[in-house]
Amino acid sequence: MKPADNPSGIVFDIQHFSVHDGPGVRSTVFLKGCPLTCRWCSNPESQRHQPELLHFGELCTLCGICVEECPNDALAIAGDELRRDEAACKLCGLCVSVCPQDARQLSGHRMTVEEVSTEVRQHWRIFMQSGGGVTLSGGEVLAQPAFAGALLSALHDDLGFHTCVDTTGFLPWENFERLLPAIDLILLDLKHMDDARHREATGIGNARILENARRLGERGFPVIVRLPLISAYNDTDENLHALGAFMKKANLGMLEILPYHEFGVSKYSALGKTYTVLSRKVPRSDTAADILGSYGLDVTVARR
Amino acid sequence: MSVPNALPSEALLAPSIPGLSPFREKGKLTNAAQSARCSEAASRAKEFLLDAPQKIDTERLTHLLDVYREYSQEPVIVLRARVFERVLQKKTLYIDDNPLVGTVTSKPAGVYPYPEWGAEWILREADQPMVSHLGEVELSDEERATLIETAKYFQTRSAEAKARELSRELHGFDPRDSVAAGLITETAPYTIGSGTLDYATFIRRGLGDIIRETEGRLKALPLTQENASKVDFYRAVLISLNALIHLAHRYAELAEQLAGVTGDAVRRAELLEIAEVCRHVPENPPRNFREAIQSWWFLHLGNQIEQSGCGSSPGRIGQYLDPWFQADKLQNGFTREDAQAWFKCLFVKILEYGYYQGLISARTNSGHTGHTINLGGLNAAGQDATTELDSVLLDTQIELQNIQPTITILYHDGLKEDFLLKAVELERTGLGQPQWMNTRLIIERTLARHAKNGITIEDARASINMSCVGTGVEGRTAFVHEGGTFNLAKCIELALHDGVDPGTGLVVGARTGDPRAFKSFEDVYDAWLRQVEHLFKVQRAFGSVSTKALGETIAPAFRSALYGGCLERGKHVFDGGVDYYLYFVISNAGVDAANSLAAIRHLVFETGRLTLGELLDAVDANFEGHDRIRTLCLNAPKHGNGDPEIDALVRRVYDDAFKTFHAAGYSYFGDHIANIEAYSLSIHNYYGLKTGALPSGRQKGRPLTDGSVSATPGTDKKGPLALIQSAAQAVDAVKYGSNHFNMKFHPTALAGIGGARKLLSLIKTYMDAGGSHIQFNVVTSETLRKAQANPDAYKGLTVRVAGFSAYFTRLHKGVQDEIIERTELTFDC
Repeated sequence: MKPADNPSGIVFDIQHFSVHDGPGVRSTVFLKGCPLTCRWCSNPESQRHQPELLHFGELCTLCGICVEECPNDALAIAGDELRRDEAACKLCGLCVSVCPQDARQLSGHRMTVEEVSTEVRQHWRIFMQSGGGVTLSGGEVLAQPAFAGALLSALHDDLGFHTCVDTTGFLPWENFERLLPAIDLILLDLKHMDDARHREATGIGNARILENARRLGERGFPVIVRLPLISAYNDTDENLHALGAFMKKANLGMLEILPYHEFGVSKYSALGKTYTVLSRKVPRSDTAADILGSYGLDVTVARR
Repeated sequence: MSVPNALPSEALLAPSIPGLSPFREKGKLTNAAQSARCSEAASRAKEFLLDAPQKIDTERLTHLLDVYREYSQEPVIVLRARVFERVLQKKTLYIDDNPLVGTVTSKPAGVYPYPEWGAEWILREADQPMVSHLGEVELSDEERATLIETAKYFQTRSAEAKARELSRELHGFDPRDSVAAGLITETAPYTIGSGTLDYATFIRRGLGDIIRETEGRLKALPLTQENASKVDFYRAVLISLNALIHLAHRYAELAEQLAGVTGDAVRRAELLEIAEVCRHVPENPPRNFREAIQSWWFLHLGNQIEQSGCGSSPGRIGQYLDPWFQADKLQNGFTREDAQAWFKCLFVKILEYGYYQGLISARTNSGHTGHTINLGGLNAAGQDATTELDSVLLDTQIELQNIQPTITILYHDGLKEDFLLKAVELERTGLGQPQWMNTRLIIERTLARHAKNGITIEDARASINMSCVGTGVEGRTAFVHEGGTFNLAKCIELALHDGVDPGTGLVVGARTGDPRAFKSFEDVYDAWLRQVEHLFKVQRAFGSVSTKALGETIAPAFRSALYGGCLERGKHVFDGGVDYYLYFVISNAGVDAANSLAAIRHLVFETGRLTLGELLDAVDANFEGHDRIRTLCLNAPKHGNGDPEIDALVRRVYDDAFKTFHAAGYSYFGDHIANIEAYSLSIHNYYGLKTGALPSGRQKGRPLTDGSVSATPGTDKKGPLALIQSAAQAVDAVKYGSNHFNMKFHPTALAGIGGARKLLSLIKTYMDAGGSHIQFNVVTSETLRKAQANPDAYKGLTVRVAGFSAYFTRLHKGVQDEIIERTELTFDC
């Protein structure tokens, strides 16, 4: 395959045996880079486009093995802290492989369409057995449009797999539309119906997202709307009614509620980021399901 | 007559069933009333067994010594039949409130010691507390004295003593050093299970009919030199079968006596019916389902009294008992619920059964009794063999959650959806059952194993899991050890120490030279393989000697009679009488050997991160002060991650072990080949205690890897699909006698109908890729940690260890830790 036919992108994980990202048993490919900065994001390492090194300080015992092994002399112990010289570090990942505490993790590496296809293809049997396939997730899949397009086409058109795209919906409609022929199902997040509240927690407004949702509904394209449910943020009656009315009007019939969890919190400090919690209260999943169900929507609650 | 565990009579009253008298005609209990009593009795028995320690019962030993004195002139097969007969004639009987009657020993949760197999463990451990997996074994001073007296008598007469003596005479060694070093375990000292006897035929025809046939054979047999041993075999069979009928009649008499003294009309009716049943079976063909199940239990009781041990399986009991169930449904208004109530009575009987044979056996087997019920599979015509009663058995286990018996699904593509979904329902309970076996593959295995024994496809289709994971033809395959077990990881240790075991300082391996002089990975591999060759030379030679010794000391007539072929040939199981042999030794720690080789190859010869000398220094120091090297070792490539290079190495280890095994010797049973089984029970824990640090990064004394193709706990990092990909190809599961793969799931992974279908997809995908066996633990690590901290609150918590389910809180701490460490796979994050 010529490089032109085999573009590459930054992938931060491929998870096999995934059962919550579309029908059946799936392989989920996580693309790195996202225009949104949702405060509850459970994959904060997915936000930056470039590869990143995570360091879980609470696991580190300052044994110094990584300092000794680093071929670029980029690591040093200063006081009770491991320091990394970002200029010297080439993100080779050697420090990750020698760490006795599993305190380090390299997130993101460049993969070609062919490499990704080869990896997920190994599991063709279980895709067929279970009615599954491949899901592209992120980050934001469409923040790497050329790579995502080529990958979807390879998976869907060449290999015949069922494809899902898990997206924020925040991108120009034209980009979106180009990819639709190679997508079987879209999982679309609608995080808040109020533009200002949306912007406050994700860094951007919701106008384009809602517009894209409307257009998908108009076409009758298979969509499952996903609502990451957060207490006192978007589990209010007002927001839920607004969402129900919007979906009904937009001809979008399926909704999945994802109750807020904190599985990703430890990754914030590992990236040198700060986690600013919105709310730790348990969101009102059942109430949300009732309200949204009253709009005739097919509602499921993901319980993990 | 003492009636242990008896309850106040008001507790025995039948529950009132609105609108129904508990009696039907002729003063007998109605099906519904009897079933309710069955269920209550089963619940009480189960409750009692949760807390019951094992109690050694020495009653058998007194009879044993008497018979050996009285019948010393008889050939061993007859002598042994006389022991069996005497025990059945004289043992103290009791009937508790379980309407399915008959117990192995004279007390609840009792166990028989068998010094005829091996007396050393008794003499070694007699003056210390005896500890089984259930805690301290109870034994009075008087019983202890009897035990020691008998052990002394058998010290020079046991199979163990004979095997060692013969080995010294013929081969110039006995294997005690190899056992001490943790390279092998012996087989002669330990009683073992029978696999699956031909219960179906014996229940259907009744022992009376078999006795008449055997008498005919004996009469027709000219007494020639050639036939002399056959005459003795038939004599022994007749003694044994008649003794079992006599035992049933003794139970009938006891039931009648008890009926005469009870003031409770309901109980009296129940006891009189017990008496009627015991007078009829196992002598005659059963007249209904209840008699069929009681006949089964008597036959099994005979088997277990003759020789207790691991791996005596009911087989496809839901299929061979189904005709009586169907007839009862049509004629007697019998229901699924009634059948389930009787199965509950049977399940608690099986749960009660145990054995104790000393510390080594306790460590290697964790007291597992290996009563495997098989469901599904194919009939002789190649069609789905599942019956309605199979599904009742699933319901029974969903309700009871017993660690014994254990359920195996003989999986194939023709199984019905509702049956499969019910099987997943059982899986979801977290019991660690059912385990799943690939029917097509085990049929292929039977055809390959018995290519020289005239196997037919119809017989091959009767292949079942007859022990923990060992397979054979139901009713026609004998279950015989060539050797106990062997440890492939110890061969790594020996290759890195020129054949000397570092733990004991004994030379138990081949002298393969100074490891620091190895120049390439192939040098290391060759040294390992030469250790394996040496191991098999010892193990196989000693195996044949042990088999001969067992045949000359404990030849069993009862068990032999119930194996297909022995009655026709007039020969017992050690004399070549059986149609097919599962003649085996159990492999252990193949994955640890492969992971160690992989680490050496990667770190020393591929990346050059370490010299072999540096690695050996760290290993010899148990990695203490060598954190960096241990980390490199732990992070080196490991089995279970779908890495083609490692997968190939694991396969090479198992293939070479197999070839070496077969190159090392002939089989005691001629064309019936000996085979390697690949599973672990809890042997990996026992060998772990005796194996030093390994280049895989595992430290001294830690458990080795469970199963035979499971990943070492915590080293499978690429998720379930990569793990099953590696596991499915790791051994040639057709050539090996078995295969064994554990996976652990978080309960949410199986939730809902979607979760059920996904689990079925996973199972089918694994089978399609060539996998032969898979079992699951559905429990969170968090729950297990809580149970470890607070065992009283988690008494009933069961987990799948390795080939069997066990109460978690009663497992050795090392095994507990290991289960907690097993990677908990979720389907998603």
